[in-house]
Amino acid sequence: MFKHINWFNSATVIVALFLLLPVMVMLYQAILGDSELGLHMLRVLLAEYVSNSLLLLLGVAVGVLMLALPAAWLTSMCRFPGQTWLAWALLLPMAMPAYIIAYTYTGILDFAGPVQSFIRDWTGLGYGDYWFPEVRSLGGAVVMLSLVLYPYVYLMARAAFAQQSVTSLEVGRSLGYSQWQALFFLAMPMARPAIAAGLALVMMETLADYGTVQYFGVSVFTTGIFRAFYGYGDTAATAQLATVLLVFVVALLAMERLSRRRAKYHSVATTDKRAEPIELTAGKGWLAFVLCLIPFALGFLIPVLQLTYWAVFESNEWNWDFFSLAWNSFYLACLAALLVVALALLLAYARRIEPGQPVKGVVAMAGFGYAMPGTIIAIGVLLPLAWMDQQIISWIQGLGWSSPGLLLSGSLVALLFAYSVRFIAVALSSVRAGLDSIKPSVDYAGRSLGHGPWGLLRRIHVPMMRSTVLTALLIVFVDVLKELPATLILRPFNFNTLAVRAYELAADERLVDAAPASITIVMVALIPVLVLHRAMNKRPKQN
Amino acid sequence: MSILAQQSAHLQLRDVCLAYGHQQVVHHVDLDLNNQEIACLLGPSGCGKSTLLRAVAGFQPLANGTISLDGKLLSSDQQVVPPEARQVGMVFQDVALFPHLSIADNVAFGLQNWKRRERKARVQQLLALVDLAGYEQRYPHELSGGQQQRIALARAMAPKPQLLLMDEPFSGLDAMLREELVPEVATVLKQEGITALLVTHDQNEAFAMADRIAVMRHGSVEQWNTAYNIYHRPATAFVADFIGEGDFLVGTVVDAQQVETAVGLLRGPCDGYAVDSQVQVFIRPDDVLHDDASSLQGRIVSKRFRGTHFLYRVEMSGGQQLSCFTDSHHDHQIGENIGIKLNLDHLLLFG
Repeated sequence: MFKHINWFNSATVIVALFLLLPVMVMLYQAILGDSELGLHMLRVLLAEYVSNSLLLLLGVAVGVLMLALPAAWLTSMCRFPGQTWLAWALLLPMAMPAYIIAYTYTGILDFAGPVQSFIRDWTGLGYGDYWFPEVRSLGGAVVMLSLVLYPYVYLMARAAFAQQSVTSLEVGRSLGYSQWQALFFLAMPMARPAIAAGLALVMMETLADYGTVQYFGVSVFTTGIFRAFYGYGDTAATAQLATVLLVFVVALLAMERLSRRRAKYHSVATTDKRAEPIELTAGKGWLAFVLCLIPFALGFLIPVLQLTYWAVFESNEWNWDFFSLAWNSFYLACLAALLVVALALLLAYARRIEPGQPVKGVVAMAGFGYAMPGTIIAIGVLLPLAWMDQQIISWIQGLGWSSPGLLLSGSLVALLFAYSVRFIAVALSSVRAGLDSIKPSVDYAGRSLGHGPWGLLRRIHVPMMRSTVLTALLIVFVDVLKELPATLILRPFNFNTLAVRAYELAADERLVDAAPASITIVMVALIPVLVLHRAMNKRPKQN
Repeated sequence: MSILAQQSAHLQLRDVCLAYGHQQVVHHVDLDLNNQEIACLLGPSGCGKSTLLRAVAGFQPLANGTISLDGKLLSSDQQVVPPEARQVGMVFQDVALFPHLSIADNVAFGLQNWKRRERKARVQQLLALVDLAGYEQRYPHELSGGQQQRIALARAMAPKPQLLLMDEPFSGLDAMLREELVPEVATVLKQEGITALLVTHDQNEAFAMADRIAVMRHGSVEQWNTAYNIYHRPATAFVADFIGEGDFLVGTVVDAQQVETAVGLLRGPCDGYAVDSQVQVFIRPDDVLHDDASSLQGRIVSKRFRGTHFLYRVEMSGGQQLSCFTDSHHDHQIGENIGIKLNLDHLLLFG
């Protein structure tokens, strides 16, 4: 289709280059920029950032595996009380942004919170008489991030278990392995690439997190980048830190891609036959129930109940300001979703029409954005736009007019640009899945039946793509709503969103007042999780 | 090109060459297909047959030559009439029904310019023709593989195309279903008087469907003839070997009427071969008869029971092997010697 339209290719390349611009700017600054912090930063700060980041990664990896693997295996291979609803309830923490769960648990567990108050009332102890773990620490950050990120591994592992052919497990049994031996020697190793891919995603999210580590005062890369940029105003140092972080990210990205490819080879199921679930009765059944309940309760149920209580009974934030915040968030997310999905459609169609290497490569590169922490993208967007604003201002002043202000870096343009870079991959993968389901022969069939390119678009592509495009819009909408660091850096003066307001209130220790914004974000973020769950349970159709 | 030639053939391919980039994959193909004839492009995978079909459909530009239909030029190296303007229907290997449309809407997809009533009537007529009346409101995924392929056929035939192309239409189906569907489809095409060009790698399918067959290899047509002639008068050694079963015997031409081989002197015209030249004689198993009285003896090296007959593989004294059909009651053991007799209608000689 559209073979004759050549501007299409040019547009694709321009869009893709724009999406790559922030990373390019950062690399350029890192190599050629002049840093004042220089050696000092490298010696003192970098060592701390690296060691803290590594500790955080390691801790989150262990935490996520402990939460996700038993739950994934139990819900996919066994039968026990509550299994059906737990299987989807375990997905819900995906809707919980890490910074929000961090604020909530801080409120629950700090000195004046309900837990410590209860302990004091119950034991009669006073301040300083007893030891209580400090939430606002590296360990606390590990727990918070694990609680909201484990669903990535849970999802991948469950899909891998479900795809495993019952026959390969039966072969194991026929060769003398017990059910449990078959689990450890066959099912787990076969699912390993999928688990690794999920883990790589978790670690990328961990590196990208800003809200949690900042609030807990843990010095890692993202907070360091923030400090270098705003604290010291040292662009080159910022870019150098960002580059080191990018090395980590690229390594994780490679791990994720590789594991995904291997996971494809490992899923060898040829039949629809699923393994007969193992029946867990009485004690074992309840143990399984509790094991699956813990991640859900800690990662979703308890924080949501607490947030709801605060929002409904204690907060004074339900006022006109709140609705203006909600409106800002809503229309910003809508604008971003429309823009990002439109760009994704452009790239996806370019890839279909011109399947040559250059376009493919450009589209693949544009997809790296999802691995980039929002902090890096935001600064990478800010620098070139600020430079362009300076050029515009001096040009217009040169004409004898007054300065127009920051047309690009001080407006929603900057935010939309950053969101496009960050979320294009999410939209692209959804749109491409839809487009790939329209096989080339379907296009050919339509044309041999007398329909031209536009007829095909209207009568085949639009109806067949509708649901995937809507899904892409929804996912980007929610991601934008939850996004914190890029919004924080790039929002126009006096422009606030729910996420930024929650951050500000929490920073002022007004955790209760942060609840209305927080619970609103969580509730909206639930929608795509539920959509995802429905899509997973739908039986794959033919064609 | 004479006017007469243009009128005589419905579909004409003249010196067609096709290329992917700089690599030519189809070389100098000439084909003439008459109105209401069914033809088949037959060949091993990778021989260029599907590419040639796509060129006729208008999805593949020509590097050289012309394709015309009913006297109208469709493709040349200069111009290509787009697929939607060719009035050429196509059935695909992977069916390619539109999953979001009902069966009736699928079949009616090519009837966008028809009046509402006529469109409805045509859909009914075609569904009846492919024996799926009453399936109008179903969706593709609710149908079995064979039913889907029949709908794909109905959809392609609905706009009354001047030519119907079928790209391996039965290869996605299991053997039983194929056996059933192939003659059904052949009947439907004949009933409707459709001119069709089919691509397949399965000679049984080609024999069951086609009036004429083009055997292709490495992008060239080796032979373009009726099924009978392709089997009995193969033009090249490749065609002889690819179609049916048989063995090549090394022989020496004795004179214009005789060839000396390991199984004795064979009689038949040897036009075009010089005396004393080496030739390959092609022998089909049905030309080799079992005769206990024959002095020509061979040792059985393998056997296959096929219900209606046995297929024996026998080794002659010189080490030359031949295949031989016997009727179903002649049950011999491996290692046994049996007498055979050659019963050749004509000699198939290759240089």
